[in-house]
Order: sequence, then structure tokens, then C-alpha cells
Amino acid sequence: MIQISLNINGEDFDVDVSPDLTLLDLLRELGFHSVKKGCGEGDCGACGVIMDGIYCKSCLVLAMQANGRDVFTVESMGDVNDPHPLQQAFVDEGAVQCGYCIPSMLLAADVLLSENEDPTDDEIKEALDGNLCRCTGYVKQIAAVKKAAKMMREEENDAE
Amino acid sequence: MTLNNWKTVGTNVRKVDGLALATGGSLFVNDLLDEDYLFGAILTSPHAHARIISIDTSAAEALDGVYTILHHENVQRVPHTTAGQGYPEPSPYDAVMFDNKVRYVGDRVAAVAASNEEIARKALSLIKVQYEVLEPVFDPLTAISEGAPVIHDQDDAKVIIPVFYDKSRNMPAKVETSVGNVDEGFAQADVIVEDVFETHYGHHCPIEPHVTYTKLDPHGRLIITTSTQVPFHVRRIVAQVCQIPVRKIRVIKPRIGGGFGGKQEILLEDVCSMLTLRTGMPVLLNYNREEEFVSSRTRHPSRCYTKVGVKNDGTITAIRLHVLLNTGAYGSHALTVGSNAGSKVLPMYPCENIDFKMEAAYTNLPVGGAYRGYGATQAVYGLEVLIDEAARRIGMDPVEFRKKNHIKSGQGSPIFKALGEGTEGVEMTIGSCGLDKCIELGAEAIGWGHKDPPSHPSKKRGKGCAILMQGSSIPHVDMGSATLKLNDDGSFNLLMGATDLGTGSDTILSQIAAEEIGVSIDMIIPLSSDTDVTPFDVGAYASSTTYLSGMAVKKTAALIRHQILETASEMLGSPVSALDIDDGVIKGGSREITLGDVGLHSLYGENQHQIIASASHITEKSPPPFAAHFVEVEVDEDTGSVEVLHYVAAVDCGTAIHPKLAEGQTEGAVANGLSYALTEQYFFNEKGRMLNPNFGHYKIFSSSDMPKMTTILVPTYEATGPYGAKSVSEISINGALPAIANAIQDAVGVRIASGPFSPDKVLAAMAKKS
Amino acid sequence: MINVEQYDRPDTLKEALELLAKEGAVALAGGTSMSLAKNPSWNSIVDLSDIEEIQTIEEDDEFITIGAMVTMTEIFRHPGNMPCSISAAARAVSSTPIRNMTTVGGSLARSVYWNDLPVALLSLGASVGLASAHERRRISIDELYTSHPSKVLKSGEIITDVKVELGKYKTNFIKLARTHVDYALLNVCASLEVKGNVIANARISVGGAVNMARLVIPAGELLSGQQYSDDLFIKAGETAAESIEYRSDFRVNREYQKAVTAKLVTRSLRDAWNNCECNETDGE
Repeated sequence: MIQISLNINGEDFDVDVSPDLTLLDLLRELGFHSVKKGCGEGDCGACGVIMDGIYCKSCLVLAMQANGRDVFTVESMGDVNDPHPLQQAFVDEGAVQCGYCIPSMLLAADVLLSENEDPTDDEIKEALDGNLCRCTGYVKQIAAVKKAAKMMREEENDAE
Repeated sequence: MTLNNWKTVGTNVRKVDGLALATGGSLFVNDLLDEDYLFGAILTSPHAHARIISIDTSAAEALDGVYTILHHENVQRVPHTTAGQGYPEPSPYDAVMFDNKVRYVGDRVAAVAASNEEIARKALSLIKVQYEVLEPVFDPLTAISEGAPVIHDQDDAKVIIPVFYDKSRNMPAKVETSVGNVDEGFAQADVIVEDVFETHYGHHCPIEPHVTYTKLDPHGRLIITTSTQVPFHVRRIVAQVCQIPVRKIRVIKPRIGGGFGGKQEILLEDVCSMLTLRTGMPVLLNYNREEEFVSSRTRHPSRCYTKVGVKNDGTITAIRLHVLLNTGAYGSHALTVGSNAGSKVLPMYPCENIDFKMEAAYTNLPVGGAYRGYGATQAVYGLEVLIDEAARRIGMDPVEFRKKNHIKSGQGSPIFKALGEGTEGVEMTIGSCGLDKCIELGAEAIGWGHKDPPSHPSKKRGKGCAILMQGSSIPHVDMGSATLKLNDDGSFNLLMGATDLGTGSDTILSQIAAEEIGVSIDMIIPLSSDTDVTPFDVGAYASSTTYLSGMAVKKTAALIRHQILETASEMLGSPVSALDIDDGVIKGGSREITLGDVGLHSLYGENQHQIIASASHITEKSPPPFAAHFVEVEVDEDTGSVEVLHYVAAVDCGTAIHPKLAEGQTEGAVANGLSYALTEQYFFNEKGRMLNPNFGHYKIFSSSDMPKMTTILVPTYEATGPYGAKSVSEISINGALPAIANAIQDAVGVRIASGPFSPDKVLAAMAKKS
Repeated sequence: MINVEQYDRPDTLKEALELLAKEGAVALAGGTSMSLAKNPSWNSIVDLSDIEEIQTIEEDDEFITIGAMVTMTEIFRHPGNMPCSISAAARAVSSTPIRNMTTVGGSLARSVYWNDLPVALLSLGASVGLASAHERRRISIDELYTSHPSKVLKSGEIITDVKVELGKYKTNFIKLARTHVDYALLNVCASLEVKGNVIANARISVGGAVNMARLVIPAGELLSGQQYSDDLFIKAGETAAESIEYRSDFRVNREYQKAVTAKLVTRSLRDAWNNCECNETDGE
């Protein structure tokens, strides 16, 4: 067992992990159920998280690699009473069907919008290309990211 | 289309479970586990065809942390079908929980429950199985030919309805029907086009693989929480296979991570239940992605011999469709998928002479099952390619040819009566049909008849189209029901057996209830599905939920609305006929009261009672939704790569109860159809083992693969559906194969008669032509 | 993996190299394949991700030097003079979250058939910086790829950077795959050193259809020192198709591999000559 410390959604955790344990399994064991396992092989992307600002697949990251890192899951973005603009836009645009791939896709979109406040369709497609979805044709997600981007730009302008 | 003043139906209300899903709520089977549970795992066959001579579990049992091991020697042999269909099932009873024979690589051999996954997997590796390897058969035509190895040689395999079944010839199903005189029809034709079209294996690829969690409650009842489309069939079939009474079982369907037909099958529930019954412990059993590809269900591959005769004036004189369906090692859905290859395709072109034959073959390959499209996907490909070819040969534009020939409102087809779900179908004439409008708007959106220059000197562009139909539920077979009860704040519990598996049916059915009662959607609290709580529904399949379960909800809502008005009438002293419910307020009486007032009064006031209603619905017909699909492609002549540039899906689903969700169903079906047509493919080695059971090598589309997508909903009004609605979920998966094949033909002049249209296949076809 | 007892993430290259000098230590360079590997001989993991000195991209008038821990995403987003083949190859790698993690060093050292980046680096004649606790050295990428890099790298030695001469070549990279996020069926990169109308030097590399990225020397030799002609590009394509040893690929047969190698080598040469934009992914 290897002892690690990490911060998840702003909260510090000290845990002992086996060297085989993936960050995905650690997060689920700790109750972060938004992080999904769809393949465990780095292909489907349902386990995506943000680690130190980088969007990555938590099934490919060993838990011990997260030692000293800041990890964000979708639980950090908002809740049903106070959703993040992206969460709201995803629901309003019909981008959420079964919802299994959505938490990680929201994180990918969140990173995109933090780098690019007005992305094009192609930029959104590229940013979401690691998140397989079988229910939708990605059309509604692209519309939702654009809508959220607009909402966030307007919020920012209002704040100024 | 009728003018309406609907308040909720036809609007894009917020999907009722959307925010809970988008905020990462604990909603799926894997999120709902107890602290302590056992981990189940299944040992599968490494051989395509073998008999189990002996099985030695002693080393595995000796492993610390192993609780129980199931195999054919210690589990009761109960022939059944894994197909989650209504009783009596049209699929053969050719499966048992564990058999002394394995019939494909991936077939069940044994199962273990252990304290964690690592030990469970280790235990599997310690089970010693001695096999007598038998000769396998992989080709469906060989399988039904003289002298082929018999895959189901057990005595107890049978069918339970009076239909064809010949296991000695590896034929689990066969259907033949004809109308008119086909040979004469072809003799009248000026042009005859024919070919054999092959469709390939495909997987549903839900992002959540199959998963089941079972435990015993303090009363000793078995609680099954499972990712299923058919909770009531799960209850019935688990009772059957595990030999326990239905009353001892409760099936809970939480949120489901996609199904597409793949979860209309009882694959893990029986084994997981048995592991719990043996150990008394909660057990989690799930497929990993490899098992999902290999051991769950697939789209039945097919060979469709298709022949069409036309006159120079564009009249179709005869159609012949002979389907050879490869059902793999078990016959689940073989008869019905095969029948639907005719019934969901042939009625499109009314014609006096039609000949349909379907034969299904067992092979030692993965098992076919229900999959969005359900037979139509297979058969419409060849027919729509030949329709294009026939039109070209008589010098008619393929779009004009289709407009002239497609079925119209008021027309029937003898095929509807001839082909049902294993038995005869029902006579039907088409009510709503917006196909002409779909064709017109679709052609306009794609720029039909106009060719843009290619993006590179070695590429060529082309356009193609296809027209489609499906059904909406299975007449006289499917039943849906619902219960509504009024609470003291004027809200309603809507209890449904109808199974939302991500499609949004909880939302759509809530909209129907809200509309019918006269309240806003947020006053409806939907619950689907829990067999202890919700009334029966066959489940989410056969494009039935909106049309069938929607009508059950509408009836229920009308009943409870009447009860509410009766109570209000008592409260107000005004006659029921004077009262109306508008946005939760009862108007027309001596004063205005709210539904909350009525609810509170009914529970605590005079004449105390629960305002509650239930209703069931069956259908007399299965009105088809219609669609016209158009596509523009670019073919790389150096590599054979086919890139889809623009896809247009124009769909008539009657009234779209929730337009954005209807578009989402269409776009999702198209995306699945596109990658099935172009990149999804099972590769097998010579021993029948799948070589690519992972998303790394089984390629479904990501966001960056999607072309420009135009979705057009063409409203019509289907009088037999709730608020004029028909189905929408399946139809649009069927267009990509024929439309793209036609576009490739237009671009580079070759016909691709088998899927997928992989670059090597397209390049080889072009090389052969030149 | 199950025997790993030690995990370190040093801040300096020096510390990392000392840790890697120990028996059973393995470097983790991005780690997109590490969690799936089950190598029982590893007992300690040295994560290179915090070593800033191998995370930079540096340019001068002549060369661009890319640190071993630079990711694919960082490469194609680099605002400076990144040769377009390198950008295109980096962008062609898998999907965003994988490109965010996959590094230059990891990609070169692991070197499986579908690696996209090494094909571009081979064509451009990069040199590779290596370091161990005992020595620092620089070898040509041709030398690194004489056999599998794991055999060329000495015990405890890691890749620290790759260095590419700027402006030397007209270059073009093409990836052929079934979808955007896929293992290459074929990668081709052509780089031409042009003097007037003469091709002074041509370096053509392939991947995907071969076990490991490799230079196609006969095709390059055919062109080097010749006057430009399109026929020669066609000939070079055919020569390349004939001269390489294909891996067996269950997705496509040998005939197809050969046919597209000929066509895409020619296309890549033409596009390099014409300074066309590199194709990120040439397929669907």
C-alpha cells in the first residue's frame, strides 16, 4: 500500500492505495459516483476528470499519480438547485439522454470554455472527442456548449 | 395536423431527470450498492463448439473469499429464452442457465461469487474444464445445409407457440409468405434488378455495460436492481429459471445507461439471482466491455436476396425478398427480427406481387438479439439500393420514383396481415403519412440534384437517399399501464411500468399526464419502474413507449381528472360538467380552488378517499412513422475512405410530444446508423473468437466524426396515438446503409452490397470496376 | 505492477535519474498505458511529470527542441514555429484527454505500431537527447529506431528531448484511419529538402502498417538529388509500397496496405512539395 494525499473538489483526502488502483476506482470508492466506468481501457471517456487543470481519463491514471494533485469531478460544478450554466444548457438543449457519459463530457466542456470563451463547432467537437456517447449524435451537446458559453460571457459582461 | 392549444405537449419542457444526471447523482445500478456485497463473475467458453466432459471447481472453491460456484452440474436445468419478450415468447426455449455444452466463444460455463473482483477472476482461472471440442459452423448457409454439425442437439430445446422449429437442421425459425404471382410480376417487368446484400454484426454499445445487483430483503424476497428495458419480463423469467415464485421477486430499474435493444434480454439477472439465493448475500454482476461485445447480444447479421421488377413507367411489378438470418448460438429474437425484415420494409412499396421468405440459422458465433431497427435495418438496405438502381435504369430520378411508389395515407398492405410477431399480423391501413413532405424537405436540405466540387483532386462527391418506415408497438401483444394518484399539494405520482432507459420517456409520459389533467409538468412525479410499485408494462421495445404506454397514461389521466372534478363538484356544489382544470386550478365553479385543495380535502375532509386511477392500453395497429434520409459523401479514390459531409433526416413521427427529445432520438439513431454503415465491425479469427472486443478497435463515432446533421420533424396527426404521436426511436437507424451506398454509387459508380463500407472494401470495389 | 512499493515524483532530472538507476525502477512519462500494464518486475515508479526542465519547447533560429514531457496537446497548440508534420501528428493522436497526457518521450520510447508522432520525427530527421545517472548523450532518431527503442536505451536511461532543424524541409504528414480517434491503418510523412527545382534530400517514413515507425530509405534515395517530377513521386510511392515489411492487420489485408502506401506516399510527397496543409486525419 502507498499513502497518498489528494484534494478532490476542494476537500483533502489521505488514503492508502494499492499500486494497481486506478484513480477511477479510488474516486468511486470514495463515493464520487459521477465518475463512470464504461470500459476501463481508456476508450470510452465516461471516467473523465480534471486533474491539475488537465482533462484526463481517470481509468488510465493510477491513484498514486494523483498524490498531491487537485482533482475535480462534476460534483464540483453545481447541484440540482444551483446548476452550472453548462449543466443547465445540457439539460435545456436535450443533450442529456441516458446521462451516463454526461458528467465527464461536462468536465471536458468546462476545460474548453476556460480556455476558449467562444468556441466554434469544430473546436467543441475536438474537445469532446474523448467522450463516447451512444444516445445522441453529439448535435445537442455542441448546441449546449455554445449556449453555455454565451450565458457565461453574458454573466461576465454583467459582472463588469 | 390539427390545430391545438396544448400547453405541455409539443413543448421542450426540461427533461425530468436531466439535472440529477448532469450533476452526477447516484442513479445507476453501480451507484446503489450496499457496503458489503459479493462480486460475481462468469467463466466463458474459449471454444466455439464443445461439450463439457468434466468440470473441477475444487481449486477455485478452496480459494479464500470464494463463496459459491455455479455450473451445469449444480444448477437446475430449465429451458427458456433469454429474450425479454411477452409470454408466450416467440423465441425458442433453447437456453439453460448453464449447459454441458458450449456453442460459441463467450458462452457461459460457470459463475462465481467472491468477496472481491480480483478473487472472483482468480477463481475463474482455477476452474478446470475438460472439453471435447466439436466441429464448429460459422457460415449460416452451411449451417442449414445437409451434414452440418448440429448446434442444439439437446432434447429439451423447443418452441412454445405453434411455429416452425427444426433444431436438427440448425433452423430456429422460418417464415414464408407471398402475395399475387411473383413470377408473373417479374415477367411483366421491363427492368429487373437483383443482388444479395449482406449486413454485418453490430453491437449496441451502451456506455453503461449490463449490470445487475441482487440481494435478499429481511423477508427473504429477492430484490433485483438491474439495467434492463424489461423489468416485468425479468421478474417472470428469473422466476422461471431460478424456480421461485414471482411474488418472491422485486425488480427495480433505476436510471439506465443506454439500451438500444441490448437490455431487452435476461443475461445477468438469472445468474446473479442464483448467486444471491445460494449465498444469501448481495451480489454485483456486470459485464466488462469485452464481455459486453462477446457475450451479450448483437445485431443479427443477414443475407438478403432482393429482387425488384419495374416497368418503364415506374410501376413496380414484383418484389422478392429472401432473408437468411444468422442468429448465432441461440435463437433469441430470430423469428421476430426475421419477420420484421419483411413487415417493416415491404409495405413501403404497395405492389401486387410480393414474395417473402425468412430462414434463420444457428451458428457458433455471438448471439443475435433485439437491436434498434430490428430487422428493418437489415432488409431495407438492399431494397432501397435496388430502388435507386431500378429508377436509374428506367431513367427516372430516384426521388421521383420513390414519390410515385411509396405507400400513402389510406392504403394498406397485405404484408401487415401476413407477418406478425411470430404469428399472423393484423390488417392495417395507413393513417398519418407525412412522407411526401419528408422527401420534399429532405431533398431541399441536401441540395438534391446539385453537385459541389470535391475538396481534393483525388476525391469524388455523391448524394444518396432512402425512405424508411418502422412501427409503433406490437398490436394485440404489447400492453402498457399506468397509475396516477393525487397528493395533498396537488401533485401526482405517476407510476409506470414503461421503462425510461435514457430515452426521456419519463418526461414524455409526464407531459401527457400533465396535459390531460391540466397541470404543469412539475406537478407530476414519475416513477419507472419497480415491479412492486408500478403497474405492468411490457417494457421499452418495439418503438412502443410513447404510442402505447403514452395512451395508457392518457387514459389514466382522463380517469383521475374525472375523479378530481367529482370531488371538486362536491366541494363547490357545482356540477362536474361546469368544471374545468386549468394549470392546476379548478375553474367554472362557485369559486376557484386548486388541485392542492382537492387533494387535501380528499385525504382529510369529508368522504375521505385516495384519488387514484389506473388504466391499461393495448393497440389495434402499429402505425408506422416514416422518414426520408439524404446524405452527401466524399469518397477518396486513393484510399477508399468514405467521408459523410452532410446527413439529413426528415421524420414523420406524428406529433412530437417533446420536439428536442424527438430530434435527439433521430440524431442518436443516425449517429449509430452512420458508424454501423462505415466503421463498426466484428472481426473473428478462424476459431470464431472476436478479435476486437473494445472501443479501441470497434469504432463507434465520436463527436469529431459526426458530419453536418440536419434533422427535420414533419408533423402529422396519428389519430390512434396520444395527442397524435407515433414512434420515433428506431426508424432513423435504418437509413445510413442504403443512403450511403446510393451516395457511393453516385460518387464513384460502384455498388457496395455488404456492410460496413470500410475503406478496403470500397477501394477493392473501385479497382474491380476499372 | 502489483509488486510496486515505491512511487516518486521528483522535481529535477538529476533526482529522477538517480531513482531510475535502481533495479526494477520504471519511468512514467504521461502514463496512458501504465495503468493497463501488469509488469511484475517493476518495483518502483518514477513519475517524470513534475520535472520542469523536460517540459519546455525551446526555439532558436536553427532548431526547435521539444522536452520529453511535452504533451501532444502542447505541441499542436505551440504558438511558434512547430513543423507542420509534427503538429499534425500530435493532433492525430487519439482523443483530447489522451493528447493531454501522452508525451513525446512516452510516445517515442514505447513505440507501438500506431504511434503517430514518431513517424513525423523520423521523417524530419530529429535528434534525441538521452540521459541516465551516468551520462548524457544525443543520438539521431534513425539510431533510436534501428531496433525497438527499449533495446537502444540503456538501463536507467530516458529520453529528455527531441530536437528538429527548422526550415530545412518541406514536409507533410497524413494519417489514414477509420475514425478520427483510431489506431492508424497507415501513417505517412514525407519531408523534402529542396534547392531550386532539385530535391537535395528526401526522407519518407511510415507507421501503422508496419510494426514500428520506420524510414523508407529506398523511396527517399530514389528522389534525393533528382529534379522534381510528378512521375518520380508516383515512382517513389510504388517503391515505398514494395520495400516495406507490413505487419499483419486483422482490419485490412496486405493488398490494401500496399495500395494505400503507394498512393499516400505519393500524395504526401506532392502535398509537401506544394506546401499543402497537413492532413490531421485522412479518413472517416
